Amino acid sequence: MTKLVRLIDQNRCMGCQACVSACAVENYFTPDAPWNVMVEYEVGTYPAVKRVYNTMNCMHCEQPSCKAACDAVGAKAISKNQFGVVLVDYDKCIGCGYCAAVCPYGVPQLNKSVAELYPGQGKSGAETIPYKDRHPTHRKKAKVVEKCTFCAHKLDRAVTDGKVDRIGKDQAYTPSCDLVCPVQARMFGDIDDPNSDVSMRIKATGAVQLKKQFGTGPQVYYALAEGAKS
Amino acid sequence: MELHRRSFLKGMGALSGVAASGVSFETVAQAAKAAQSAKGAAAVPVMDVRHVKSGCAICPNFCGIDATVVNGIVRTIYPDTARAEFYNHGICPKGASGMYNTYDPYRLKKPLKRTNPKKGRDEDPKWVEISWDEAFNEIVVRLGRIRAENPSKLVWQHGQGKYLIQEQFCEAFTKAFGTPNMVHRTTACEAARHVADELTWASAGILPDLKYTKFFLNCGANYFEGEQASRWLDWQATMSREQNAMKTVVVEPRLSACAGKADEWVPVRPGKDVVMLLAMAKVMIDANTIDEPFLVEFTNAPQLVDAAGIILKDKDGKTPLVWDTVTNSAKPYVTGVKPALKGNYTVDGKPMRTAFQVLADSVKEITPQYAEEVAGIPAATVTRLAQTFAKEARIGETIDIDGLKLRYRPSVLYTFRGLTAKEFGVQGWRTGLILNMLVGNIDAVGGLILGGAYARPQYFDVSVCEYPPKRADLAQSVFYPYSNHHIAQTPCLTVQDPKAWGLSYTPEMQIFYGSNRPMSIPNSGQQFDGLAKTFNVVIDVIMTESCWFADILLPDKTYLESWHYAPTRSTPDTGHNAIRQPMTNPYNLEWDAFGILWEISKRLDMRDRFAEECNKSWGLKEVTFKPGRDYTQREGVEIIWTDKTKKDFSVAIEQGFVGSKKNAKSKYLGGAEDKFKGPGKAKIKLYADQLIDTYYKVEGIAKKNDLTKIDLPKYKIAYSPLPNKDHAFPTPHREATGYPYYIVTHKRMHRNQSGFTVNNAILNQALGPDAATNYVQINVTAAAQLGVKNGDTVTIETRVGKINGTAQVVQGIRPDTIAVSYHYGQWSPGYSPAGRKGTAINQVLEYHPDLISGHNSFNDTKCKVYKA
Amino acid sequence: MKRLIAAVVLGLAMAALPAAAADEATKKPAAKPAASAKSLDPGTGAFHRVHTQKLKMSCDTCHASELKDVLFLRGAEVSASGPGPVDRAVCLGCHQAPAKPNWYGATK
Repeated sequence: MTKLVRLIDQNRCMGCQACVSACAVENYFTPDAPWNVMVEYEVGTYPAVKRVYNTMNCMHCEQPSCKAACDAVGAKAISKNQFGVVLVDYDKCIGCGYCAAVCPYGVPQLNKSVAELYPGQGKSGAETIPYKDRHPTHRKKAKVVEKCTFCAHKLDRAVTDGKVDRIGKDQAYTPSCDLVCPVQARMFGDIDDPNSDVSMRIKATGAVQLKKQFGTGPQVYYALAEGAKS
Repeated sequence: MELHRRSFLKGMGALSGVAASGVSFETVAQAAKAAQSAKGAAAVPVMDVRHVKSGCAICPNFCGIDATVVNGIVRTIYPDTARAEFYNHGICPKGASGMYNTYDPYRLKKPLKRTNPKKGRDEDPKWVEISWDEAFNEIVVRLGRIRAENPSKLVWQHGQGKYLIQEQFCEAFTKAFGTPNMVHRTTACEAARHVADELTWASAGILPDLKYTKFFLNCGANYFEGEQASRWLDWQATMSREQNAMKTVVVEPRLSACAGKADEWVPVRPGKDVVMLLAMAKVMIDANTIDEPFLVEFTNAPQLVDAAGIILKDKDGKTPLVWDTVTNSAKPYVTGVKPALKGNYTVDGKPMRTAFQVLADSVKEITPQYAEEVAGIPAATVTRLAQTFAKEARIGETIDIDGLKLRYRPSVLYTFRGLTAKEFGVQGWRTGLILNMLVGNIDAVGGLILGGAYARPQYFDVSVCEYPPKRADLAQSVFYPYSNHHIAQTPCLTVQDPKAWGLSYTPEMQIFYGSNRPMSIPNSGQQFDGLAKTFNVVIDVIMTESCWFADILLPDKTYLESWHYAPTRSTPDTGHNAIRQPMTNPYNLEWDAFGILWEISKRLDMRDRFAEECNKSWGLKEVTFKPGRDYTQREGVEIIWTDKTKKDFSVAIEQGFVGSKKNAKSKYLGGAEDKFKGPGKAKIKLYADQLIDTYYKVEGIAKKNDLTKIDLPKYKIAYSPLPNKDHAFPTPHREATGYPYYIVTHKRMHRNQSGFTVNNAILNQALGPDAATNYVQINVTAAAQLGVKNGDTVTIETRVGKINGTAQVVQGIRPDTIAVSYHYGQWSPGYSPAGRKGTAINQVLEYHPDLISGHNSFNDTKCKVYKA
Repeated sequence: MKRLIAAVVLGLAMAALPAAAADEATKKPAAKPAASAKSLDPGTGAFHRVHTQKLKMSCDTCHASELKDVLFLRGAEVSASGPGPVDRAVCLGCHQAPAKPNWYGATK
């Protein structure tokens, strides 16, 4: 089996938000619905203070609460495949927001409108690429929920190109947020392979999932900085 | 550059469609295959996908990038993985979204001409669109007249533009034209650090040898948020901390990202770092934890200094004398002489001390307790830091690398603007250099690596102190004798009253290339007053505030639209040559700055002269610009690439760069060891005696010419050969009584070099509200006393004026200090609304440039803060 | 403490209501979804109706004046609106296995 996970090393992260920026570009950011957000907070009191940077994107939980809620209301717009990607089908989503209401991490975003990057100025750059030429996850719709897909369009490519083994290694098959980090604070790969870089580094850093008490089994691990919340 | 047609979307969505039911990879792959072979698959669009290796130009890190261009649109920008071993491993948020500096509907797209002769922030320029031909004519008519009358009346200014087509072309143009007035921006950034280096080791360009460093004392360098060499420093500092157990201590008033991730944050009181570092020097000297052999062999510490502070010279009047412990006499340091490092001596009946003794005596009163009082750092901390800095330097140890036995001093003090963006900025970094010298880490493994030691010996000499000044920026004149990096802010001041500065002409015309100068300068209102005095041509990408004061605006291409022979950053271990290449042109722009210069030169009938000057400024040897013909931008880049790299241009297009690695011998033995070590060589100036000589020269010229602009007592303080406690008391600290809070300013990742990113929709929106504006950071205790809560609007009042901002109440700042970042508060009506948020702190900062380097003082102002 | 007791009591009460709806929906996936785009509307949406009318929960049982939990992607969004954000830890009191509806799997 292949179970894709992400490691975020807070001891390395310097809070630059390159990952946030790259995600926005890669995934046709619309202002109402960011997929990747930097949470930043101080630990300690003056003068013994440190800073923690905790990027948040979809945790792609093993038992996703969003999917449970979506199934419960009958929309069945949220799926999870065998390598762990939790996806929202925009055509099935009814915009009820139950997924947003139950996610412990505040991940799903109800996209109120597909607003232009430069309001009133027409489409710019990638906005001009027609929907027919985009991956389904990039065909943004108003009043549906969207969220981080682990760059499913790239994982799709890996499968169709027969390059699943290059996920987390090649730029074409690796989520963009994990490609740009100046200090290599992010890593992506197969946790079911004990010899994968991500597996070994999760082990080496003692990385943990956030909010384990919710029991959703996140597929994103954090190497926690001193004093960091989990 | 890889060009291919790829069935990018074939089978696209197969996974996401099928995956909904939770199936295996194999099933998905089969489904995808089926989708590809199914009837109608040909209807799935086939797209052009190109991968282009190029370089980022948004800030002076010049990262290597790998762009994906889909159907002519730059879809993504990733770091070039091949560049990692030479410079950047990743890219920053600006670089990753850099295409939205290009895909910006607010850009300048056509030449514009001002029709309202009045210039002001509230004056509508009443632009009219004109053709390129008309624009060139307007410019050339004026330039032709100025060139015939007095070419000096043209002032060329560039900021970020320097890093696009590169300064060499600007220099060639101004030289061909005949004006001395080419002015770049370094005094708005880190010039004082370079000048301190030049006065000390006769060149500039330092980097810490972090790969081997064990103790990194960072005095306000902010590589996690944005500055030169950041994309190497951030990675190496992170890796060394993890893999080499390097400890990092950050000394600065605000908990920067660097401080927030350091092993220890030392929140020094603004401007007082000099006292803290001198107290550390005292601790080290008292404990004799110093590298005596280094100080004797590499520096001028043993040279004898008389009671007036002048270094004792031999009969030739040039060669410095030391106290020879073999013969007990004053001698030049030649073979056989063993100089004394310390002590008082009598030579020809006159009392003498070694330069080192002068330093030791000068810090006698600067105790850790005194540092606590002045700098607000506990005496015990100052003592501990001094002890740790010295201990971790492992004085006397060596290490074997590549078969060489090398000095091993893995303890280093580094700064960028922290010690330098101040009224006494040169003295600030001189203090840091002296601490590094005390432990002997210069060009040692793990220490401070010099870039090109003793490359410019003239900086060891007394300054020319030119008067009357030739240049409108007063660089290297009697007013700013060692302003070796131009003075960004002065042309807009001298133009307001040229005679007061002894300028023999009145600048008439300014060309700004990629520069929004006034916004980057303290007391920016003064700058705009200057802009209103001249005919201004601005070449830029977006409608900056400088554009608002322009007479003619010329739209430039961005770094994704043009060819550049690109500047690069080297590291202590690597270097590389790079290009940038065009990959899109959404607004069908015709000209870039190179083309504009070429066309203007042609119309001024100085094209061949320009070509000749290009050859000189670029130092082209074999492949050169030839007279009698025009060059496209690409042809120009190809010439430089071929001459510099000796590689075919196809390599540039395919790979974007060629890299090189330094060996241990050139890295550690090619600099200080070669130029300064031992008898008969020049010496690193622990004691900057040329400053004393220069002071007396300034005094003479000022008195002779009755120069009211020169305040001699201030020059005397600034021109001390050794840093002292006076350098911790800049003008506002002494004079602005009743203004209780210190202001510190800083760069931020998201808008650093804001002229190019101010409209970027990704940065302004996707990074969240905190990235789209700036805040007034106030300590929780201070905020409670002020009755200020997070999000409140507060007023900052200085002796210059008042400005409002949004309070951000934090633990991570000194209670007596507020911090506001640059890059925000832009007001040009030509920007997108999202670009005009926050506080332009430069508007209310006091203007007290460093009198040695001309560098601006960004961290000396004091203020009142209250709820608006 | 007051809030905790309320959550426990309401948790018991909830075991029957929405779970039945959920089960029904699961059995008939093609049926009209049990929620709509208006479900989260304050006061009128089904989500609030269940919690406030059927379960008689007061607003401050769930909503706080500020979000204490910073590890929340939409942190900026929720703190800016309405009666204050909901810390999902409150939901955990009821919606965790084995109670139904179970959004939060098995506690590990």
